[in-house]
Amino acid sequence: MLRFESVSKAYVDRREGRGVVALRDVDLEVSEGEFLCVIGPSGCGKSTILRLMAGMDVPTRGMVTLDGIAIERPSRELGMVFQEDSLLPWLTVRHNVAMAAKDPTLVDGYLDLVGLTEFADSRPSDLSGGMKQRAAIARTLAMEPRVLLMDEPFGSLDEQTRSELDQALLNIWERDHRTVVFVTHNISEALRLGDRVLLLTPRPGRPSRVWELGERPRNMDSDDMIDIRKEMEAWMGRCECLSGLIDISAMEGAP
Amino acid sequence: MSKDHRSEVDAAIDEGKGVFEISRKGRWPRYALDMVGALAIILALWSAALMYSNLTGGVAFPTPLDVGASLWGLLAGDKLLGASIYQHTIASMGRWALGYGIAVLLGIVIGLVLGTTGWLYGAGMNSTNVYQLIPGLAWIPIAILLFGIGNIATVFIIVMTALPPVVIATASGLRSVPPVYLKVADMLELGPWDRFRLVLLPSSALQVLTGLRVALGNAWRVLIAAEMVVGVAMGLGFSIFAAQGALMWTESLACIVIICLIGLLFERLVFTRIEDGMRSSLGLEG
Ligand SMILES: Nc1ncnc2c1ncn2[C@@H]1O[C@H](COP(=O)(O)OP(=O)(O)OP(=O)(O)O)[C@@H](O)[C@H]1O
Ligand SMILES: [Mg+2]
Repeated sequence: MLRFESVSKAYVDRREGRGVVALRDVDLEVSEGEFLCVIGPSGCGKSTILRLMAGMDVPTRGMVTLDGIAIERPSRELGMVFQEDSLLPWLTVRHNVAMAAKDPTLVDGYLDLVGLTEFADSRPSDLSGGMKQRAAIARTLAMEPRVLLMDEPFGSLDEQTRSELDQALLNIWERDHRTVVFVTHNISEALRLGDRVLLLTPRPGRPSRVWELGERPRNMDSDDMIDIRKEMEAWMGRCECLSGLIDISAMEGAP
Repeated sequence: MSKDHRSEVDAAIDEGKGVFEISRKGRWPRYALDMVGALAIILALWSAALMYSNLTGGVAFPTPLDVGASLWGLLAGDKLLGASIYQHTIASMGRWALGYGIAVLLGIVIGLVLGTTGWLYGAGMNSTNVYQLIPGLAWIPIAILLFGIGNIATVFIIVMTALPPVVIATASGLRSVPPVYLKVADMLELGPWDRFRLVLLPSSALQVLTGLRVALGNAWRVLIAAEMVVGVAMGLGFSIFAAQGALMWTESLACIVIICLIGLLFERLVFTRIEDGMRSSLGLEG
């Protein structure tokens, strides 16, 4: 189980002469095999949560633990799919996956899983944006991590490609129900993917609402789903205003 | 010349072709045109120098034809200051290779140290930047004090001027590896060697190459200058200087032409190719 115990995270920028409290007193539990989506407006601390889970940053206060053991540094147990291009451009797709693979004999299997068999020997520069992210997912799956952390992996793709890749990801997830924390600010995507959806309100970032979603496959046009979507949209809208207000007061030197 | 192959494009559109050939005949490739243009500019400047020299009535300035003839003779084996032009060239290139080789090895090692140890980086880069400001020839007194007159002093001067670009390029190349690649390396728990081999080296290689290229030019220029002063008995720089002393102006200019040609050869043929090859093997094209 992945756990946040009253975690706060602040960044200080000495050159700018100011600090930002990105997260404040966050308590959170992600259970084994759960698919958790985290949504929230820009700057509310979504990436910060993932960085803490990935061990790429440490909390200012509180504890982040995996099965009761503090996460202090990156490890192969914590697989991250980054928002930006993260494939090494000088290696072929296969080599990128192979360098991460726990079991080298499974590399081609992972490439097949994300539908890139034909492009195994291509360089990343020969792939489209969606294909690059699929390759990055194959790489992270090949690590066979305990937890899959995904920071807006399809954020830069068009809606059509995004929903295709969401479906592909679900199909992969259905095979072994690995724990996934998936950050997005796309409500439709969160509704398609998550067992639970957590909304983060900004500055300081705090979980303010959680939705439990039912069985899959989901009918997005059912009354329940439409209600939940409306509620999420209303909350997101409110957060975006809120972040605007808080921005202004922060400039006036509020704590 | 049909500009932009207009008629061929029109024909292809009319005939509904998808892919079509364009004629190459009668068209000079771009680089050939650039070369001819460059040559024209050089000759124009040369003519200006000729005219000026005629006006002021000094020693007759060698014409391009004079120099061409002299160059031809030298290449055919005429002796200059007791040695063939090939011996002079080999002597210079030998010093160049030695000095440059030492600078590259030393520079890469220093750059690796600066680029991988956080606390040394700032101090090291600042001092290298300051030291880079010392003009090559300012090393001459130091070289002579340390090593006396001769080959070692020349090589020392080359090393000192070729070193900073290599150090700076290596250290800053290692420092400018995109952070997301470092995160990937951390996440995969790569060992130090794999981290270097798979991440640091490939992502800084192009920048290092640029440093090597600048260093090569620095080394070549200072070599020629150093040979004029530091008292070696053979070499292109020495030839330019000694020929001028013997009032052999034409030969002096012929040696300058050779120096330019050698520089051009390395710049265009060697480095440009290495860089293109490296770009494609790093997957950076397209
Ligand atoms: N390294 C850092 N230094 C200073 N401030 C930072 C740093 N990283 C994040 N922040 C600040 O912390 C807050 C949360 O940032 P975070 O990147 O987690 O937001 P986010 O929800 O992922 O936003 P986005 O949707 O735009 O990616 C922001 O206000 C940001 O300015
Ligand atoms: Mg983010």
